[in-house]
Amino acid sequence: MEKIYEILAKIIPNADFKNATDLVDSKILTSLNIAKLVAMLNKEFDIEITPLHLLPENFNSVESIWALVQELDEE
Amino acid sequence: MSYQILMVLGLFALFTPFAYMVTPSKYRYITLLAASLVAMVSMSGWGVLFLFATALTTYLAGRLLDKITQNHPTKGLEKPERKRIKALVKRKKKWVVFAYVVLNLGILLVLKYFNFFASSVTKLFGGEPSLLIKVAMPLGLSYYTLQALSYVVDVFRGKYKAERNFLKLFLFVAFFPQLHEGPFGRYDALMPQLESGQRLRAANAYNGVAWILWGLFKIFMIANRAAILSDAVFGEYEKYGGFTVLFGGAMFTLQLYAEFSGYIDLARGVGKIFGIDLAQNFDMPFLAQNVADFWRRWHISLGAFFREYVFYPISTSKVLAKATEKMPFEAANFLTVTLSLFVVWFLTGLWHGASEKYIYYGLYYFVLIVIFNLLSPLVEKGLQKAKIAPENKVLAGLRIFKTLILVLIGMMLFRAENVPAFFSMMGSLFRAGEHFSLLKAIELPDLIMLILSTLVMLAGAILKLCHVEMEERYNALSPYKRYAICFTVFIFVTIFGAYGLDYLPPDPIYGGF
Repeated sequence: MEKIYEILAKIIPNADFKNATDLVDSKILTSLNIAKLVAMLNKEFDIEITPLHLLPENFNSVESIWALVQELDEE
Repeated sequence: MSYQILMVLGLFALFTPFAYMVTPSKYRYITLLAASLVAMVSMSGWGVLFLFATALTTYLAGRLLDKITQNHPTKGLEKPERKRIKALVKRKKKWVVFAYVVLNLGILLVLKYFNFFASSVTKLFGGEPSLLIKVAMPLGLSYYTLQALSYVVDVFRGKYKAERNFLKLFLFVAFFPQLHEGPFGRYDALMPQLESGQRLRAANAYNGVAWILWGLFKIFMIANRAAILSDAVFGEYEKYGGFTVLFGGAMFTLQLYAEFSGYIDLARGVGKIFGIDLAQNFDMPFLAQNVADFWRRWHISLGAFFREYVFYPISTSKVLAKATEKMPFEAANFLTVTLSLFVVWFLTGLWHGASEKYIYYGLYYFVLIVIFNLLSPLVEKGLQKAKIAPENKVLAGLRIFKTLILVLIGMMLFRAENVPAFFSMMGSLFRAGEHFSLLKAIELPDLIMLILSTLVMLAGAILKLCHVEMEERYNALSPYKRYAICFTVFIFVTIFGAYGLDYLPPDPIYGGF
């Protein structure tokens, strides 16, 4: 999870992402920065996030992003 | 264009329910397919063969993709081996999708764009185009090709399993009500409804007929009359002054919205008769706060297609990630998004038609959105400094007004004869010219009807904004009252609608794409 903090700190440096549960719903993560987030997650964890996974519930909080990464890593 | 599409759609809505009713529920999808094909043949003749080719290749591609996955099980394997097999499967599946896309976009390109490209190339070298092809375009080619493509890509991504029944898949591609102007349907939303074979219900029929009449109201009471004014201005734009030229653009915007959303209401109404909910395509677009928001509210199903099947795959692609790896973070992000947006808007423009002005139309929105992306952080900072809340109502009003102006300019490019004509019209904003002579183009009763009908449509939008659910209220009325309403609207549109000898036949703009 620390790695995800590091990545998010680069992408949304001004947001309080550690406690947020609505990163997508409150438009902190948008189509403008989510592409880079996906690319960095793919590279860091050697996974493949496809457009199918680009759902608000997968990116609304650090926990949900972590859960997605783990799920894809298990596949 | 003539009244043919309305007649065929009307006959479909009128006679298919009878055939549907007498078919056992298990086979009702076949009745819908047969009716769709009869309607399609009556509109496009042999063009139906192209539809069949797309349906068949879509079916085969889906089955092949599933087969490849099934033949390479990964359950119980160690992680490295699992990854190796998954990569192999993905490679094989990519080839299937590639072949499918080449074939089907090939049909689309040849039928829709070959003449445009051939003319452009020969003109470039100073010759006269001699190699033009003359083939009847099947109705809805641009719609069903993308709809079928979304299914194949979804199966490739593993969103759902491929359809095993060819006739059901054929119906998904060919369902007649949405062939003409959309909306694009998604397989996972549409197929369960198409195959359910649910019985006809009076409530659904009343609901469907009301939507059909509302669509006809918009087309014949508003669109066809706004067209009189917009045609007059765009036909002789040189003689009019700036304000009237802009007014002509506004009339075209009204015409296009009333007509396009009217045809979508027709399609949704016919669907509702069979208990089938087709996708929403409009969500009060003229209340958009910026142009990107406008495209989330206007032709929603097209925007969603490009977002899901073009923007996300490109912007999250490994190739682009690698190419921008060494760049500073902000620059890499900007480049990735801008490049993806460029492809999206170039294709959106091209989708609208084989003409330079449509490509410029797409690129116009590309430029606006890139500028918006660059400026919005600065604007936000400015607002913070000035202590103005982002949800300030005056600010929202100004944003809506700004978006309306930008959309209006886009619509003028969309409607203008060609790009030089558009620039000449823009130039006329700073020239003097005639204004009131435009009123000679329209008869007084037509003008009054246009104003009153537009007010009715506006009232509908205001009620929706105030969360007054007119559809629910209508559905809760007694059958007699619903019948009386439908009958009154039908008679009203029949008597006062702008059709017949005194008017040009409707020219469904989006039907031509």
